[in-house]
Parts: sequence; C-alpha cells; structure tokens
Amino acid sequence: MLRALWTAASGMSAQQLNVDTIANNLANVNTSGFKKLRVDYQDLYYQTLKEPGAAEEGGVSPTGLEVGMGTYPVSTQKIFTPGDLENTENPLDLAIEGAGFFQVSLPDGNKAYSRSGTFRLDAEGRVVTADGYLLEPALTVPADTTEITVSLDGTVSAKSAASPVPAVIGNLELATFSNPPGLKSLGHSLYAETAASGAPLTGTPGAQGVGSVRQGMLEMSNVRVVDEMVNMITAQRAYELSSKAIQTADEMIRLSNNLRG
Amino acid sequence: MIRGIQANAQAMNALMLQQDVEAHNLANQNTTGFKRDRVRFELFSQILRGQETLSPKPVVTTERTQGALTRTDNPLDLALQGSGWFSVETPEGVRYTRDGSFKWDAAGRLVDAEGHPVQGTSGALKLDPEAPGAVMVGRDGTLTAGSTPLGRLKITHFAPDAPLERGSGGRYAAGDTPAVAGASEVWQGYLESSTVNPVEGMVEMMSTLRLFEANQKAFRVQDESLSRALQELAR
Repeated sequence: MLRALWTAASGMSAQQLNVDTIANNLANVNTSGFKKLRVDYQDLYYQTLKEPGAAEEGGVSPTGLEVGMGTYPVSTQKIFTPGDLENTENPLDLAIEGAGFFQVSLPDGNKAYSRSGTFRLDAEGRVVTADGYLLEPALTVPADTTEITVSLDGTVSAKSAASPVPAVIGNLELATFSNPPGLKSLGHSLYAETAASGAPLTGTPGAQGVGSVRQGMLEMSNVRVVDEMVNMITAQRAYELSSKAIQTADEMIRLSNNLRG
Repeated sequence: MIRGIQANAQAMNALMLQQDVEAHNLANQNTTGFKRDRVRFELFSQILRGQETLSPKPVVTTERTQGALTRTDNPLDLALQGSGWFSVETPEGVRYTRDGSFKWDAAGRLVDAEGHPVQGTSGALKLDPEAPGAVMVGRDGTLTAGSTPLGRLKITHFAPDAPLERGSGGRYAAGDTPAVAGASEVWQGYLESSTVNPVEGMVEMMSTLRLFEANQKAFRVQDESLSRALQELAR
C-alpha cells in the first residue's frame, strides 16, 4: 500500500517540475532568442512480484505480476524550433535564419553561444551583446561610421562621411552543434558547449546548415502562449489526480487500521 | 467463518495492489509512449477449471493500445502509428520502446532521451558531416539530410498479446518472443501521448476504494460474530 503513496508522490513531484518549466517558458515569452524547454518523463522501475512464465498450479503464468513505481523526469529538452522574426529596423539587431549560433566571449575567456542578436556598441566601438560581452570574432566599428550594413553571408560594411562607398570592416561567423539540445543554459540567453552538444563547428553565414544573418530583425521567443496554457492545465489536473491517488491510498490504510473496531 | 475472513483479507490485499497500479498509471499521464496497466482478477476461470479457491488472483496486463499523437514540431520527435516498436541499444541488450523523443548525441548518433543509440535497419543511425541541414524522416522511417540518405529506422512488430518484459523508461525486453511482420508509420514532429485516461483512472480508484470498504465491513461483521459466538458458547 505504501507503494501507491510513493508512486503517486512521484507523479506529483514530476508535475511540479513540469509547472516550474512552463512558468519559466511563459516568463520568457518576450525574451528574444529564447528557446522553450520541455520536461520528458519516463516510467520508473517495475517491481516483479511474479516472473512471467513462472510455474504455477495449472501451467505457467502467461504475463507475470509487475507493479510500476511511478514516473521520473528524464530530461528537460530545449526545443530549437525557430522563433518568429520581428522587424526592428535597428541596424545592430541581427537574427539567424537557420541552425547557427552567435559566438560571444565571456569575461573569463570562455566562449558562449547565443541566438539572441541584440547587439550594440561599447565606448570603444566594439560590437557587444546587451550584457556587454564581446562578439567573437571581435568586430570594431570606426568612430565616424554613419551606416552599418550586414549582408546575408555575414559581411559587415561601414559607410562614413569620409568614405561614402561602404568598406568591409569584418565578417560574422556562426557556430553549429550536432546536438543543440545538449547545450548548457547559462542564462542571459547564452549557452555553453558540453560533452553532449559536441564541439562547435564554425562556418560562414549562408553556407549550408549554418543559416544566414538578417539585419534589422530579431528572433522572438519560440514560446507559444496557448500551447503553454494547455500544458499548464494538463499539468495541474495531473497533479490533482495524483493527489487523489494518495488520498485513496490513505483512506484504504485507515480502513485497514479499523479492521478491529 | 475463518475462511470468510481470509477471503476478505486476501481481497483487500488484491485491491491494494490494484490501487498501486492505478497510482502508477496516474503518475504517468504525461509520459510519452506510456501504456496503461490494467489489473484483472482471475477467479471465475479457476472455478471453471474445478479448482477451489478463496481469493481472487490479480493479473497485471499492459494494454498495448495506440496513444494519441501530439504535435510538437520538434524534428526529432517521432511517433509510431501502428503496433511497431523503435529499437534502442542499451548496455543490457536491445530494448523496444514507443517513446520517440530522440536527439543527436555529440558523436552525431541518433539516441533516445537517456542516450541509448537508436537502431537502424543496417546499424546505428548517424549524421553525415558531408550533408548538413535539416533531417527529414519519412513515413516509412527513412532519414534523409537534404538528398543524402542516412538510413532507415528499425521498426519491430510483435504479436498483439506476445509477452514482453517491461523495464524502466518505457523500454521493453523481448526475450524469446519472435518478431512478426507488420506495418507502422513514422510521424515526424509528433509524440505519442500516454494512454492513461484520467476519468477512467478516477472511476477505477473510487470503485477500488468502495470495494475495499465493503470487504473491510464484511471482515468486521464476521469478526464480531466470531467474538459473540466465543463469548456466548464458552460461557
């Protein structure tokens, strides 16, 4: 009987994690470059009370007697479906159409990867993320620039009062991974490479499988509010039902305790 | 009288097992590819066979019915329409699963949620570094990247009531059970939902509880009669 209590409790804690994840998705519905998470569940270990095929009176047991012990979250899967592109007309807002990631160097010297293309210039004219981390490979915009253009293949050119013909000042590079869901989330829309994601492969935007760069656009979050609401309702009801299973088991124990009045 | 008490006690044990199984079903309402367990009580068949018995014998069976397909748009979420199974290579040997939430691992192999390689008809399925781009999965389970074929998912079928041993993580072992011919479709961007029906689960739990209560009442009545008999007769 205590089995049912623990089994149902595993269901409740699983749904709690589900609601936590949905809440995080919903909170990031306006975060540019955000990729939604989904909790994947599997069923827990089965306790074999009788082996299938065990000998018993009148033949062998055809199915055995196995009782499952509940559920457990096996992974939070990042879903890398593309978000919608929003036209912002800001020259340093860049969106990736394809599977690639922008590369960013962190203050500790490590590299991080991001889908969020809200770039800006720092005091020295270097291209940095909203948090001030440098874009990799580094790109410095000359002080007298009047217009920056980024082409689909990542070529950055600048026009200035002195040179009305745009001059190439650098090239963007994008990184791809064989298993993007294996990246580690660092927060601030940044991801880090792990053993599960594989090593990054860098490539020129526009090459096959890397994706091209769109200037003046931002990739919005791929969270869909309606889907998340439906998930939240299912999670809440599943939580409620598991709690009912605990109440039922509790009631049965109470009845057993009252066998002797 | 003592026999009656024993029968009620055994029935209560069997109903507790039923509640254990129902709690497991309800805990797995959101588990991809989960198949509901059902407890049946075998008594009638034993009486027919001329065996005298006091208690119902619980039998747990897994109902291998098709779950609803839910759209996820994730390209490596695969669902099976039909009675087939994906096969994955685990350290304990080949296991069969209906959970198609796959991904690529760091080495570019197609793996399940816990990192076990998914089997193709000719060996493991791997990404081709020469052919980047989105991988398309056809209804027949063929994987292609652009125009480069990457292989075909191995889909195994078993007879509907063939015994499969259930392990954790929705993975089943076939043992000596032979595979049979069959046809299943692979749907890309979908996952198969759990077959647990919350309403049925609730009804099941309520009836279990009330049956348990009835047995408990019968037990107490008999206990009281016994006690009365002992008091009155032994006077």
